[in-house]
Amino acid sequence: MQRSLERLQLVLLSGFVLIALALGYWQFFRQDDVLARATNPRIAEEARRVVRGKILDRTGKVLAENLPDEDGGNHRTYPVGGMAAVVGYHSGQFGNSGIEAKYDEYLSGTRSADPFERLRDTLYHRPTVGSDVTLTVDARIQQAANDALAGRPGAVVVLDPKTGAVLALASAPTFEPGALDEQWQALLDDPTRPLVNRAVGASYTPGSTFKLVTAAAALDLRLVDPRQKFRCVDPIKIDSLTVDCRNHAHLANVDFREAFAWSCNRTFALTALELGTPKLQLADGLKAPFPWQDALGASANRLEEYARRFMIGRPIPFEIGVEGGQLKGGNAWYPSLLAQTGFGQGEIATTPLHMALVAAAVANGGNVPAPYLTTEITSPSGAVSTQNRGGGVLGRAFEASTAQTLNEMMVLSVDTAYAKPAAIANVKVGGKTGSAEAGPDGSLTHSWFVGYAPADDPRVAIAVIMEHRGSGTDFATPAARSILQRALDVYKR
Amino acid sequence: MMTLGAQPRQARPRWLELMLLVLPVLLLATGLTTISLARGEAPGQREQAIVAALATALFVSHLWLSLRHPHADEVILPTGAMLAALSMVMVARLEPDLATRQAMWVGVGSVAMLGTLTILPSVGWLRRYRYTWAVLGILLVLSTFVFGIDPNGSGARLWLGVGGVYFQPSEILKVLLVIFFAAYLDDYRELLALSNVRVGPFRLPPLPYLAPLLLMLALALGIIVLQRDLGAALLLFGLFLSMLYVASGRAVYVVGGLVLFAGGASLLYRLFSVVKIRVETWLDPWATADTTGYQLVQGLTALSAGGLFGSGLTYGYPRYVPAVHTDFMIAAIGEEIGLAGTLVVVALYVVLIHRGLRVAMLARDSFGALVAAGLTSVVGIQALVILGGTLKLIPLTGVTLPLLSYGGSSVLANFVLLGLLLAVSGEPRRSADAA
Repeated sequence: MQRSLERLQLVLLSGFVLIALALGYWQFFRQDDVLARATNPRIAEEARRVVRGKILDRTGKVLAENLPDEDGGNHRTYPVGGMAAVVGYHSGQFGNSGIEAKYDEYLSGTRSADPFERLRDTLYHRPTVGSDVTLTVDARIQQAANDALAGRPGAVVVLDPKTGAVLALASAPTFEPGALDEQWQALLDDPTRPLVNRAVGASYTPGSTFKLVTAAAALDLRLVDPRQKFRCVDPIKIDSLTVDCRNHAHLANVDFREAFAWSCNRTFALTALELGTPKLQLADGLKAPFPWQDALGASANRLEEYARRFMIGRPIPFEIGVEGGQLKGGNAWYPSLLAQTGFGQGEIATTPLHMALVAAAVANGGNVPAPYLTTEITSPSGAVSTQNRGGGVLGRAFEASTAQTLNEMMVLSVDTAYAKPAAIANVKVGGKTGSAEAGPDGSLTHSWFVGYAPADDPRVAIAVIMEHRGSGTDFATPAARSILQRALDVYKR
Repeated sequence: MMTLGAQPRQARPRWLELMLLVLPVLLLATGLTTISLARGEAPGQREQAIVAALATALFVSHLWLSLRHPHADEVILPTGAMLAALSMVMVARLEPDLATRQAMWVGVGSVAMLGTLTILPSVGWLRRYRYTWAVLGILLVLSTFVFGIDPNGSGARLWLGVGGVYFQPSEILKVLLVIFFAAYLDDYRELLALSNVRVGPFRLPPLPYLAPLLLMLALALGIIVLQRDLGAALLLFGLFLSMLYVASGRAVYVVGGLVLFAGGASLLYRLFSVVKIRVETWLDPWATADTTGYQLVQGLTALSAGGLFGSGLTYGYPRYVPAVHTDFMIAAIGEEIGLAGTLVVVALYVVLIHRGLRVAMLARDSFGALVAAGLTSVVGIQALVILGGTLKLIPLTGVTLPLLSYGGSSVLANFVLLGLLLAVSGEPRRSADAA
């Protein structure tokens, strides 16, 4: 019996050796594979336990934070309304957008400035706490922008032209990120497309606001004396396109500054066409052969060059994805297209952020500030990952003397011409309106305003667009005034 | 040769056992403290009472053994106590409301173990009532057809219940059948070892002598299979084969048994959809991860989640595994204590089996040897059946993990089993061993 007992022992113990091997197989070798499967409820459990970091505005006001649930989990809340264009959303079902997407790794705690933080959390079995993200935006300025848009399709960008810090980034209509899961389908079906961030994610015909770029090119290339008066009454015909002077019908003789302030399409069509010539010929009485006939390629190159300096047609590096837009479509330049582009029509399309940077470059002595949204990412232990004090530049768009002239022109526009509704008592304001025609035929124009204040020492630059609303003067300009006023009240350095 | 039973039972300190018994008490105390602290509480009176209860039960058992069975194996009780202590820790972790109940059952089990050791005049006394044990066991299981209930919604009415206390007769049946098999096989041991029937080149065992044995086995298996308690059926069949082999020393029985098993299994596969589902689930649990494969998949996932050292007590999610505090206890241990913990469990079973078979080898007579071998086989096979099922080595059939799973009848039966094992080992030795 001893032998059979020994054999029995051998069989039973072999069984346990197999068990030990199988344990090693599942607990060690197959670990990653089994845990990565959708059948593992721990992934969702751990995610639910993570206390996502806060998103704060420049004053420390909480824009997004997690509040505990009764069952030990927690959920994301957005205490300040109207911040969705900046903050974005965080949804278990539909992913992330905006800052929530850009800094998801930090917010969710998978990355941290303190490399030992996660290890400590794991060792002490503490739920992971994500890093906090502090933004450049000011909830109060954002509020003013939202109020000005009043929920109708449009966008506002407010930034500090010297640092590039974005103070407000509003898009209307918007959504409530805390209720995203319930409203998702309705938001997708909504024809006004509330999920699109119009401030950076939509390209618009810039209309007359683009005259800033055309003017900048002419001034920077010293093709025009801004104070030389010329007679500007007769419409001109370029191919089948007729461009007239109806915007300043009361003024027959203007100089370049006045033509800008009164937004003369004829002047800027000619400016664009003649950028490749040694001297702009803007006065009435032009006859064939026209000065641009041999210079079309050179003129187009120069306009393209100046547009490129503002990244028009290219995405701007930014925390939230920016549309590139375009200066023109795929076709080659032809005279009437170049002429139209000169006053912001034609095939050109650009985002409100791009146009805010054009105004900011004027306010910043010709340097295009690099826009940014995030000042700091701070881990729970206080380690700081990203620290942006601003002041970066995307490039130099034009010389300081050009900036000075453009500033003069924009102040003139606010003081005397179409941008008058932007005027603020005791503050010099520079601005340019735009009423951009953008199909369908018969629809109202996009109402644009770009500008900055105070003009003698600019602190805030702004771009406002209100879709299919009417003239820039009547809608975007007074809206910009109220936002600028609020920004100057609260944004002090 | 000395007269059997003439060796005096002289009280003797069992130092090794006493020292080893400190470990399960320490394990329980640290385990319960860890759980309390992790939950943000200080260990309370309840935890202290549970630790005190285990310490008392073990110390009393130790004293009793020192007085009455001084020569009994000194490692078996501590090993069983380690498993029981780990069980108490895990139950406190998984089902805090059941912790006191489990502690109570361990207490009742210890009493039953000491009772077995005290009441039993000698191990040999058991063989006199071999048919009584077998019939009693079968009647108990049969009674579940009439009175059976299903308190935890497992889908099978395998329990008897009185006043909120549930009892699974198949847990006791296995111990009773060990005694019956041992008695019967011991009677016909010589005959079985011979082969007096020849068919061609094969020598066959004396089948007529085996008839009562096979009848009992068939009855037990039949009832259990009808109840869809496949794990218990597998356990009983394995037990029968291992005892038959130990008694006869002939592998031909095992081979024949395995052929029979294959035939029976394929028959069951055709007859019962439940068997078919179990096999399909075993082959690819992930295909039905939401339905029939759910338990297996969640068990494996919990084991993987634990990795080498586990998440730490209370920091895992083992409660996604159905029946994790009973049949799937290893998954919870794997998740929260890791491979380190599960290998310790395996090691404890290995020690228990090694010591159990050592008891069989040193037993005073062949009946005692067969009882010890049978009891050890029960523990070993049952652990292998459920561990193998949990680890996807074999199709999953539900049986408890001996001494680890929560459950009154399981704890009670296993402590009685340990008591019998100790009784066999405590019997005065043959002169050769007694020196």
